[in-house]
Amino acid sequence: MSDEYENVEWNVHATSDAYTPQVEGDDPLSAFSSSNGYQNNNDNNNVGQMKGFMSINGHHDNSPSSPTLPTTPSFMPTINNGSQTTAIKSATTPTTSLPTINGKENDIATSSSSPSSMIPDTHYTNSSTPDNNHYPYQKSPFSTTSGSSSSFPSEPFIAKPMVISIADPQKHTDGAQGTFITYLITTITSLDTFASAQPRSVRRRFQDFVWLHNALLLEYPAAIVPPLPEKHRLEYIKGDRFSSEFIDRRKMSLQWFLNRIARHPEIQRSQSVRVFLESGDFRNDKRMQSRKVPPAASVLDTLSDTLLNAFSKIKKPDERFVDMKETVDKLEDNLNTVEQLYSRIGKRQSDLQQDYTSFGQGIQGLSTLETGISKQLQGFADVTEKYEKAMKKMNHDEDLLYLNDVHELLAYCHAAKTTLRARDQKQLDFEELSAYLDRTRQERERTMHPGRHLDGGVNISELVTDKINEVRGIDMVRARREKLVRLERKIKELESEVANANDESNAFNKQVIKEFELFQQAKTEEMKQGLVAYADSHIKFYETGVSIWESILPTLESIKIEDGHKEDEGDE
Amino acid sequence: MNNRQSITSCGCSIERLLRQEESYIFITGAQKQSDTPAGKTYIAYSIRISDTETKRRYSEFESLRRALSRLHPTLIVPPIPEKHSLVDYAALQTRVKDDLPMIEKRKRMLQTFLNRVASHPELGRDHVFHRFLESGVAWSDVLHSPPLSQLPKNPLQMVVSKEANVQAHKYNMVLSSNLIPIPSATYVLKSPDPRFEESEKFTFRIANYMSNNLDKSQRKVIRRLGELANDYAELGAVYNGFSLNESGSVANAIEKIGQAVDASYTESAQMVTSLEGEFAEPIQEHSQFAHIVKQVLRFRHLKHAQMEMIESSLENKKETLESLQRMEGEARRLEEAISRERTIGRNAVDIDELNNNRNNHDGLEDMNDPNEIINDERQQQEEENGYHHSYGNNQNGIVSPTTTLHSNMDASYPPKRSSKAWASPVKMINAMGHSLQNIIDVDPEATRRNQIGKTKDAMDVLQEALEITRKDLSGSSTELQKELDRFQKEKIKDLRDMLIAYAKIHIRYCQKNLESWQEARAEVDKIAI
Repeated sequence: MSDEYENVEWNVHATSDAYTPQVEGDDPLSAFSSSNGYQNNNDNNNVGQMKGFMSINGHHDNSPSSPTLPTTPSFMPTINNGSQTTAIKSATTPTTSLPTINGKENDIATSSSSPSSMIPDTHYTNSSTPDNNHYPYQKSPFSTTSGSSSSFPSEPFIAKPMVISIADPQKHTDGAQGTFITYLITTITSLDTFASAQPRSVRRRFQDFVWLHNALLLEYPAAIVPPLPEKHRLEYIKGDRFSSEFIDRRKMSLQWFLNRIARHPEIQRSQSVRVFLESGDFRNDKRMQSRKVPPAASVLDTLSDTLLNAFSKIKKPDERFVDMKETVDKLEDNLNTVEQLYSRIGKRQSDLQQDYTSFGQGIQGLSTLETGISKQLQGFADVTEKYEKAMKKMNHDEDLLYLNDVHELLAYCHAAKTTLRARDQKQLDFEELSAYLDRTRQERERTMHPGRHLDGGVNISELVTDKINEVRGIDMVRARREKLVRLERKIKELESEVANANDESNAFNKQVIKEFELFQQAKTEEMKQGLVAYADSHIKFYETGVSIWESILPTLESIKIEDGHKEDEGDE
Repeated sequence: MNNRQSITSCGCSIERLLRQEESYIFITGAQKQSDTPAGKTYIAYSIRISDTETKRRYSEFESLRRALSRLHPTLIVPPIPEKHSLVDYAALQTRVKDDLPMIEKRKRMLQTFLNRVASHPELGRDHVFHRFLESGVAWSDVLHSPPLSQLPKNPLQMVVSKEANVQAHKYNMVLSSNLIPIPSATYVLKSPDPRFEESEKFTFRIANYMSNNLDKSQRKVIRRLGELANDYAELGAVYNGFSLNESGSVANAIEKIGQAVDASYTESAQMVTSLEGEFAEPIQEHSQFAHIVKQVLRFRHLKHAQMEMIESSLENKKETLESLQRMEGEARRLEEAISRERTIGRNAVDIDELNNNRNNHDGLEDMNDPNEIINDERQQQEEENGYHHSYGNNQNGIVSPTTTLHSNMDASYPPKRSSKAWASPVKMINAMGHSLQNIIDVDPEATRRNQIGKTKDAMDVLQEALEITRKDLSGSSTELQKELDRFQKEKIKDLRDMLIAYAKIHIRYCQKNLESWQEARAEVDKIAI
């Protein structure tokens, strides 16, 4: 069996670790062999070890009470992401209850990989039915990713020129759909997925964006899919949903979304994107495309998996991804701090504007009292007002162009983290599978050499089971042989699964690494864009400030102080 | 002109220093001091003009200002920074004296005060002011020597204008006479001067406006700028931290942005300080100025009121005198008649009786006249606070004309009635008359004459006072008008300077920020994509 593993790439576990199997070293089980010994322990598993898994599955062939079961080839315990906690939880949520992995080739058609719909059936109607889906929501990702990774590695991971712009929001009122806004979206690209290189425009509403976003999430699980603006950002709620302020902001956020799509070398080629940007009959094409795109895993499915995994930890963290997460975390922290600080500064700035306004009014009031210089005072009041206006403009631009950018980047960070979590999940799958494989091998060792115990002692429970079996008059030798056969098969299946999971995990890793590069690049680009706007809003304000205050100086200097003849008189 | 020059030529060393070109008074420092080792500490401000240096504390500035305004009630004496408010005391307790920004602010404002006084055409030439600047002069000595020691309690008791040809700014005997009525602030002028009525209204509105509107709103701007500066400081630190988490050109760009924000912080803080000194404080000063102008105008109002009251009391005196003289004439006629009867051979008792009768007659005939006088006097007494009182007190040695008049008149009623009742029994009347005469007046003739004399004297005093006051009023009104014009010019000049300073501070602020943001922008451009 170690032969089989030799072909396997153990990228994930490049460094040696006692816990996970290693191809380069001895038989990965050696560690366990030495520890668990080769005790001739009949056909009984290490109950203590397996119990967690077995009990929840409800069909424990290897429990002493079910001696006949071993013949059933499908007895395999589920190997979900393995930890007991997970398994227990899963028992309460049928949709996530884990499909057994009966060593079938798991590379099945994408269409069949909709786990949520399939698994419950197979699993519950006949738990022994081989099921090749281990991780429903990861299944499809993997196949897609592997597909794309096979088609892309040759080409550089660089996006083709693509410009998507959003403009001209229009309000529509429809009897059935109510009032909504559509945006004119124009694409210019030389991508071969598109019909022509000519610019083409379509009208889409926010719901259509939501469709595209979901389609992309399904299609590219390993990609950092650009996030959509929140449906109701708090700031948005301030006004009417159809206020120009709201629409402008949303338009802006959607532009970010489209830019990110255009920048992504894979996503830009997506058929969903094409349909979204090109289709003249969007409603139908959308439906067609939805069929092609693997239907979304049920929300609960995805959600509970994520939740479940929140409890399990990666045993062998990969520094590259740890670093990535750290980078994103830091970026997120920094952006968050800026955003929070600005919520205060923004308030302060608008207060300051008000203060300037009332000060300007104060000067204006003075101009009605000091009639001698009322013209100049009036001019000063006007300048103060202009200054206040310029300040307002700066704050508005700052908010719209920079803080929105910060906000969008934050959302992108969340998306990146989601992808990183998905990658962790892949690794976790692999690790759990490997661990389970190890345990199965150990069990085989023990079955082959019953009685031998790790530290020379006697495994009490095994002994007891053996005794009981003896008492029951079960043929120990036959039972053991059967068990060995069963274990052998199980190991084969697991090996294939592990290899598979490894492939998946590796492919996912590769994709994530590319994605992260893309993300970094996009971040840099967007940061630049935001910072440019940020700096420009300030530069513009201060330029205006200098010119308006300078404009009032001649007026002020023109204030004539009549010759103080009184002083002159006194001096002479 | 002559008068003015008489003031200007004290010729002391400080005067010479002040008259030098470009002379400027500096407050070079503020030190905590204490007269006795265990005594209370105070801040002594070092005042330097040329190479003369002296130290004065805040309370001395306060008393200088008070002294100057007492000496020159018609001049607009510049304000000094306000005392610590109660709130400050509550907030800072004893540490007020250690409050550096407060001390700095006082330094600036006291310096402005001194220079405003120095450049004032009259106040700057006042020797009292020079003594304040002179080193080695104990201020309390100045306070207790002329001219300050000679100042009357009430500024109305002295002459302020040079027109009156009386020594000004000094306790004036004539005006301090108890005969001179002291008007109350609520006195309504009979013939107000329209020029000053206008000034008063205007000043009142300006004062209100300055302190309630302008000062408040600019304070708000400054406070908010200060808060914003702190926010920027925080934001700058955030960007700095941000840049450490990034790398390459992005890190550089963020760092530069952080520096630009830091610069905004520095510049905002700087702008706050500049606005504070070059705009907020002058605004506060002018808000105080407006109140000072109000006081000066009130003084003129009182001066005017005083003149009108002197006029009216002179009028009253005239009437009193006339009535007394009429009585005198009447009495003389009676006396002549009596003496004619005496020659016929009547005894002294009859004279008394006749005298009594005469009184009765008098009473009956002239009842209206004296009554009016009494009423007038009473009204006057009500109007002129304390007038009657001091009047009476003064005349204590002699018999107070008013009191005499009163008792005389009051006392003469009963005899009149009793004389009617006991018309025939002459002896009874005689007894009554005697006893009454003994009780009330020893000698009505003498009293009346005395009264006439007093009234004449009073009229002389009032007449003189009226002359002085009239001249003083017209002189001081002219001077005040000039002072107001001068002040208005000064105010406009200050306003102009303040507004220019305001604009320039903003220009500088914008320019500095512009530079740092342009630098940041250049760095952002370097981000390679």
